[in-house]
Amino acid sequence: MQDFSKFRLRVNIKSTIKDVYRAWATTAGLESWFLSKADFKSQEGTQREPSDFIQPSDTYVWNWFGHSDDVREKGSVIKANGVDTFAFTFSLGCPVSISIFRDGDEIICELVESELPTEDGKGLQHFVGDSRGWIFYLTNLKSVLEGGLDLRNKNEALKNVITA
Amino acid sequence: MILKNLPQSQNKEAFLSCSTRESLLYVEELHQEYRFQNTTSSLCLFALLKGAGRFSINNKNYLLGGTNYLLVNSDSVVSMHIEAKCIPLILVFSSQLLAELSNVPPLLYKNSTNIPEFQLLERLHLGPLGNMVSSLSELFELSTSCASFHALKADLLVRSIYKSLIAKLLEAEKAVQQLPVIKRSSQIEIFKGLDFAREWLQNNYSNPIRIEELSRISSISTEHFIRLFKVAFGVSPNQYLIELRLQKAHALFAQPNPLSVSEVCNAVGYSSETSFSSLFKRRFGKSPSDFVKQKIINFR
Repeated sequence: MQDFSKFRLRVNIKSTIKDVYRAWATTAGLESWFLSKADFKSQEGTQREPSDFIQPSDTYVWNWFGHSDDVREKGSVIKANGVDTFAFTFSLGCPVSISIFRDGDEIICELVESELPTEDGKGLQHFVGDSRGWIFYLTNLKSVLEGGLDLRNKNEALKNVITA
Repeated sequence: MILKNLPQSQNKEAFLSCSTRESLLYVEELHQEYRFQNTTSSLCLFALLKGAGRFSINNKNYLLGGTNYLLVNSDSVVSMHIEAKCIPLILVFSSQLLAELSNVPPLLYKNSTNIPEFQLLERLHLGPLGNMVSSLSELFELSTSCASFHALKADLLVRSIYKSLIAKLLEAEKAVQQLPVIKRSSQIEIFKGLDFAREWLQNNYSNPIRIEELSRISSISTEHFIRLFKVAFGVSPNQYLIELRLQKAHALFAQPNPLSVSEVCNAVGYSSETSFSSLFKRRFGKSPSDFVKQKIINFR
């Protein structure tokens, strides 16, 4: 039976563990393939510089292209080991963990979103919306790191597209 | 957030009540006129993406359409009559959200509940100020969209709309506290009139405006209106209008392809370029023509 409380997605990337980790764990990295704007602050309230590595307990505010500034996600970093593991809270506060490892001559980036509520329709809505969203963004991560092509929709007039 | 069609008819469904953890968005293109009588509401917003409709809130009547929206307080009794081919959009906030995000003074809670009292804002609001209707429209687009994280983004937008209402409520309460009226119900009615006139100014600043018109809109006598407006908002209606026009002019000059001084002067409601230039210089320290010249130099 399908477990709607979590999903696991993997993408293969011709890159290095270091570059994939940087794409997840720096503001500049995240803005290159995922977000229009990322703000990270340390526990003490200091803003992280674009190329600074994000640290555990940092808090974030994220915006996406194609949506008003009101569509703004806030959360915190659960884990960042500086090498190959990164985790943060996301939709409904659910943890998302990223593991980066080598498989043959490619790098695998694995994303697990868990603890989605299953007792009502809300969890299912987020299961569908988030898994669909991550499938696109993991594809875009591969595209940006391998070829430099950013697939994100930046045309504000278009909203009903999978790249938005 | 859950997307729903309007209930088919006067059935027993608790139409506008939302006791669950989910906010509800009712939206539908109507093929025939739609009526619903006397339903008790939770906190909700009404807008029409197309057409017009008549609404009654606690026996007060409102005509809704265009970029305007209606805010309805919890426990109010609502009736509606919407014309065919209209697209009504009704956002009912979940009780969980109301309790979770309510960081308001105790005075503004409904008796013995953790639900804020929005009586101060329960009325027709004139858009496009605050872009409430465009936020609702974006919400509708998101809820039917194939965009990434659509459910999350819809939830974030509902929260943001609710937070902006809370901010508006706090601002309103601050203004109400200034009014020299003892009875709370009178304070509320006076504030609603003043606030409605203020919104009307924001939407009509480019036209010639007479104080008698504002007084009529607010249902407050002219003499009282001028005095109470200043007490509530800290400036006279005339000062408010001047500041509004100058800010709009400043924004027009700041555009990538700015209009000429005379075009901006007309666009913000001044007939005399001399008066406009003098007021602008006093406010921003530069005449409009110097302001535009400076902008061109900076651009180069």
